[in-house]
Amino acid sequence: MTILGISCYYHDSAACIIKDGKIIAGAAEERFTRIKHDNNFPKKSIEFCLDSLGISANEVDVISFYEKPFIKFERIISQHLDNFPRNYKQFMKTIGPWFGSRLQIKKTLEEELHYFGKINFIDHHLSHAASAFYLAPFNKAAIVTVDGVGEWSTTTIGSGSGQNIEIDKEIYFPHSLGLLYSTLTTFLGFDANDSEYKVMGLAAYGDPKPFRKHFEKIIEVFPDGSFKLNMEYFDFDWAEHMPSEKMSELFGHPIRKESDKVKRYHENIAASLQVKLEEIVINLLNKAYETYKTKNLCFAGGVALNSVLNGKILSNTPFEKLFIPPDPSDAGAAMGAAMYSYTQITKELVEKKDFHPYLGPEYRWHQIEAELKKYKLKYKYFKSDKELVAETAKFIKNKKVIGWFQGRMEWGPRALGNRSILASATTTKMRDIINEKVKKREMFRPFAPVILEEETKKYFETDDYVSPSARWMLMVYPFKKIGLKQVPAVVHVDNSGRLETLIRKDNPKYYDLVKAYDTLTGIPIIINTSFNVKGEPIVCTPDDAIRCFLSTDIDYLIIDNYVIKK
Amino acid sequence: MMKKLKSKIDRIIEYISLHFIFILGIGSTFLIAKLVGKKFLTKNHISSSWRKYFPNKNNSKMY
Repeated sequence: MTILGISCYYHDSAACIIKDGKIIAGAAEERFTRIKHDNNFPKKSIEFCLDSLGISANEVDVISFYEKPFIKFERIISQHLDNFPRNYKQFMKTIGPWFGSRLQIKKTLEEELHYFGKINFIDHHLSHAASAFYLAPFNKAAIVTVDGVGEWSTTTIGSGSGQNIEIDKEIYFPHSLGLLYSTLTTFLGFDANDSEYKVMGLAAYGDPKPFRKHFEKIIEVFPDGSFKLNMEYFDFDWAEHMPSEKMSELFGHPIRKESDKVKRYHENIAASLQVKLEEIVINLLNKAYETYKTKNLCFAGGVALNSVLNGKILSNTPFEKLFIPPDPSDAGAAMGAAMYSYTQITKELVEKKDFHPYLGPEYRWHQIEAELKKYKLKYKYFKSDKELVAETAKFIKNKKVIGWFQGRMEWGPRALGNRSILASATTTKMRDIINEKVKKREMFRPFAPVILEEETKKYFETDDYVSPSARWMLMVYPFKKIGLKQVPAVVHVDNSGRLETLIRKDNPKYYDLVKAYDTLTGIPIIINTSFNVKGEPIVCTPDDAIRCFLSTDIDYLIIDNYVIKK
Repeated sequence: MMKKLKSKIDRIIEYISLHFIFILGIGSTFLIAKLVGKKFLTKNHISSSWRKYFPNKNNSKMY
């Protein structure tokens, strides 16, 4: 039984393939097309998935699509009915593609892939729920999904047991925590569906008190855990811009332009937003616990990318175990849709015991050598991984910036050690050096620490149960004193860190590298940031990596066991 | 040359069609709903409290 999951047409298109219960491959379209958050039909991702099995599209048994297009279209038409005639521009801009391709999935699959087989359309939030529950290390759980919007739903609660997922309640558009966060993201001068994590980072600098009352006007929270946006402050239901003019009046400040300096009140608004989000979601989760009385929680949807919130869940709710999939957002819903179809059809669960997120393309030695030749780069080849990691650990100790390109690309938005930039975290200067040499990003944004999992509790104030989701950079915890002292480059302004915990089984070479660095320095933590430059998707191919290496001041590029020095 | 011409014609047809749908489809439905005074337009928008989720068992349908 081969099932191909697809998500597309909103943001972050992706594809994922499952064969006989094993997740074989998956990747986001942006990595191939080099268009950040590419939302087009994921033809290249699909081709990659099919190539991974060496099959053609017609050998796929079922294609599983991550939402029900007609129900989504109904919601969009309803929005236009509500907002006639001020929605004229938005209507002209957005409706065309619906008639062109979005309502004609079957035709698109026939034309693009020559696929004429069975197609399943899975509810958007059910796809999210499946993406978490079917990978979770427990058989029973409460499932909560929170995102911008799917068809009509923005939030759902339900439960999972064995092979069954049951969603019980939902909150409808426009009342959406994802859209609240995205609206404020644009108010603060960043891009929606892209830069929400920047607002999360900015929030740590601010004081939530000055704007706390303002958010009570923007969103009303009900005792049953639900909430309602005051739409006077939002225009996203009819216009391209998201906040209304009334939001500027409420805050007493204009919408920030991207080029404007970030001021104190921007930090405070971000802080209030973050606190409000945390309050509402924690309240929601407590209600979910009261309903389902299980100690296990699965959490998915774009809001589950808010790692600051995630780090507070177990300490503020009665849940004892938490699972968030490596990609809880829309791209991850492709995997959720595929797993849901697989389970429904075969009445069996997918294999999850050895699940890891390294599901993307990898490149053989002859492909790498061909690229190195193309760019006329001199390299040193290490025959043994042991020697390579020992040498790389020395580079890192000597404050060199490493472009680390290994094996299969990661599934999900984070670079987890196969398409990463690595560096020492022992001085705050390293943060500035990486920013200056490569990333050129906003100075308020922190870099993430990767840590050997067995050392986590020594360096972080974690929950008793450290969620496996910490392996995918989805949790933020406060550093202990030892961390503040030893690795200041990855300590955020509020003394927290968005850690990536590392186990050898998932990625032996990466683990051995951090271990070798630990042996050299006594510190089991280094900086891991995504291998890309500002505004570009994470590198996918050796060619992408070499171009990024040549256009920045990265000191060493290490592709597989080839070491290239600048 | 023919391709370019076809693409231009397609764009013009789409432009006219969209206006037709916007004014006659959306506009007239909006007006009728206003006139009859029903709460039709906001039937899905009025409450933020939980709604019961009705699972759609038929996965092969787009709706």
